[in-house]
Amino acid sequence: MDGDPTTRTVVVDGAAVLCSLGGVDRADLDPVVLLHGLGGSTGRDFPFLLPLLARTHRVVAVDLHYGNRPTVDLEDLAGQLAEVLRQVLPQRRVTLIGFSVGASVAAAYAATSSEVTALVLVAGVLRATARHRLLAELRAGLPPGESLRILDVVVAHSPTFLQGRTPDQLSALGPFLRDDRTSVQSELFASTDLEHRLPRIDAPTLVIGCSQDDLAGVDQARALFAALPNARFAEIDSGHAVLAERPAEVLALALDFAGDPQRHRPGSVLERSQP
Amino acid sequence: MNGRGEPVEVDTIIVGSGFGGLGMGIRLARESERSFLILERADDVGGTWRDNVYPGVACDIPSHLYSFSFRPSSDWARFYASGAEIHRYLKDAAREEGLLPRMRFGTDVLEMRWQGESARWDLETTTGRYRCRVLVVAAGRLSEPRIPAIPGLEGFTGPVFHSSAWDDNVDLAGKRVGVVGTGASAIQIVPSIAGVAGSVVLFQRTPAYVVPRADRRYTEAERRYLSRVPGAVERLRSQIFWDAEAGFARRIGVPSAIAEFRDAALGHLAAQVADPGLRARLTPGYEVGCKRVLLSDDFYPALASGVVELEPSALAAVDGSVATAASGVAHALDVLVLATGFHTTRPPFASRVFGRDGLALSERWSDGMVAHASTAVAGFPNLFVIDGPNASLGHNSAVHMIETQIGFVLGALDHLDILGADVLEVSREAEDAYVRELDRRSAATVWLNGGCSSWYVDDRSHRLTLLWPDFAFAFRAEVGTFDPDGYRFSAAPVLSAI
Repeated sequence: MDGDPTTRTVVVDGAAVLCSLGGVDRADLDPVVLLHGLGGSTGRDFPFLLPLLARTHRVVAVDLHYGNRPTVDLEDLAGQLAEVLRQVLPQRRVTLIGFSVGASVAAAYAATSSEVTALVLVAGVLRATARHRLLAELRAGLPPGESLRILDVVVAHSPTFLQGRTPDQLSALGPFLRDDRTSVQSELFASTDLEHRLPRIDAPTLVIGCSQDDLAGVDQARALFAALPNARFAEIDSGHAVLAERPAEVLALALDFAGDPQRHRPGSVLERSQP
Repeated sequence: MNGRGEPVEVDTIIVGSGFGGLGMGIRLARESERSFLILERADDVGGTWRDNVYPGVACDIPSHLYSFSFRPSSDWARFYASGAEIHRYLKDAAREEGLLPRMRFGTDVLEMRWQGESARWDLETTTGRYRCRVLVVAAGRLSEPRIPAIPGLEGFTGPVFHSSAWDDNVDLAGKRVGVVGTGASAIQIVPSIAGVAGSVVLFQRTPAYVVPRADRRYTEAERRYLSRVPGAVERLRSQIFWDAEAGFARRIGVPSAIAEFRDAALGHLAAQVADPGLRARLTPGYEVGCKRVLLSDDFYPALASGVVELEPSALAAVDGSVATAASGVAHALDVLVLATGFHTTRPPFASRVFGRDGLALSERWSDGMVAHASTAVAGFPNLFVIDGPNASLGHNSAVHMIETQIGFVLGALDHLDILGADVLEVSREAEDAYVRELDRRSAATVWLNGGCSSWYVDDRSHRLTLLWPDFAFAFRAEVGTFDPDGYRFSAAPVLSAI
């Protein structure tokens, strides 16, 4: 193990974008790019995935700049990612893994790039529903404080996971960052509409849905799977915060898929793991 | 008994009837028409869980995961099963799967020798001779007690026995009992006998990291839930498995994961032991995870309450009834319990297996155990070793590993059938490449970097030979399906070396 990942700041249109890098680049293996989820950061979402993928792959996790305005355009984020990758991984094709709102950015990027050899969309949304908008409104209306934290904790985690925590662990859970980025991401999440972009994605895709996901909803993952011509589908018994609840299962699926993205035919539903 | 005349001949012989041997037998019986026998030196099935009956014996892996995936039970009484309950589970499995007629109890296998001319394994046992085409050795990893060479031990005036050979005839009530060792057995024995014995002295060479166990009983309603709700047992097993898998990050040197694990163990120690001096003596000087991490909620309290005296050094010498520690302190004792572990890196069965050209497996393994796919050894045709080299885990269930190996063996046998061949043997090149890759992965692990000595590492080569240095899911992905690449197949008889 090479210890903690190193970081590098890339400037895109005057904004600083933090990249966390791990692993050694090998010519025969595409680097893996990670995009964190709603209310998260590389540090919060990938403390497991980043170092463990870095055992075998070059890994770059990107904390995109979500801007200072109330809303952000998905095109702009995809463009920002393109520029980051141009600087950090020039001329390289990549395996791209996007989680939650990061899955939307990953899909938007893959729709315009031919550099993605394998795309993994974890707990993503195809098109936001009334429920997503209501949740975002509820969040926006709550003042910063314990009620907001509890709302975030409850919608992000499965009952199974919460039941297994001690009271101390429960009060330490707070997956959503308390800053403007989270509001912008929440807004973006609640207005997601990827439908017109997906037919443009050629890269073999693995869609991972979480069967107890109360934030994105497992149906949204199934809908992504259906909307992508070249997609396979796997389901994990977890809440939205699958990187906290079942990180090793995500790793297992990601490694298996990155190793041979075409092993399972488009349209395949992967068997549930039966350890 | 089949002493004189022709040996008993079957297609496949399995040596051992613990989780490995029984699991192999169950799948063979369910899925094939092969003739097979299971040879067992004891008079009952159960392996480790038959032999280890010491007070407090229980498993460190949750019961729903420490059981066969193809024989799920909704009836486990506790989150962590007792040794007796696991033994019962294995006995039930053997009986209900119809394996008892295939068992040959009281059969200690003295020699297993490959005969190139006939392409068969010939076995000499205490109940006669056997012959088979395929030999599966599932003789166990924690089956041969390691007895330390302590001067005067044989002259000890009271009863002395190893933890895995517990003597129920010895009444500990009111006795001065010495327990040697602080591994997984000792930590269960000590609190269990503390209330019975007159006094207990624990000889500690190296402290262990201990984390909370948080064991609990399943209520009747919970057990009914697991039995009535479709898929509930499988779901629970899956959840426990993936939780445990996440723990591998602690073994591969992810700093935040290691720190969190260390904090959990040292926090547990601080919460349960108030005396700073005792706490210091119980604090390990190596990295967490290097040696097996133990689970207990009653070990530290037994020491903290003063019921058990901690001797913070190894047992060095015995003279009559006096056991003297390396520190020089002498303890007068009535009973001595050796919780000193097992021969793990040098399995005794290896000196009884002779492959091509009469080479002993123990010779082949003189620098430490090696096998391709952790299962097949070059120079030993049609031999499969279950739970042998690099097939154990420090972070997840051994039964999952065993099931992976069983899948590999069944795949290899199917492949032989498809080819119409009798014999398969892995090439030395393929085995070497596999071992090199494992050495590469091991280099980054806490087992080699944690600053301890442990039974996971071979002291001759300093290679990690016991553990699979990766996730359990990776073992399943890499080894669970037989890949004929690197193997040679031939029809019997094989007259010369390949």
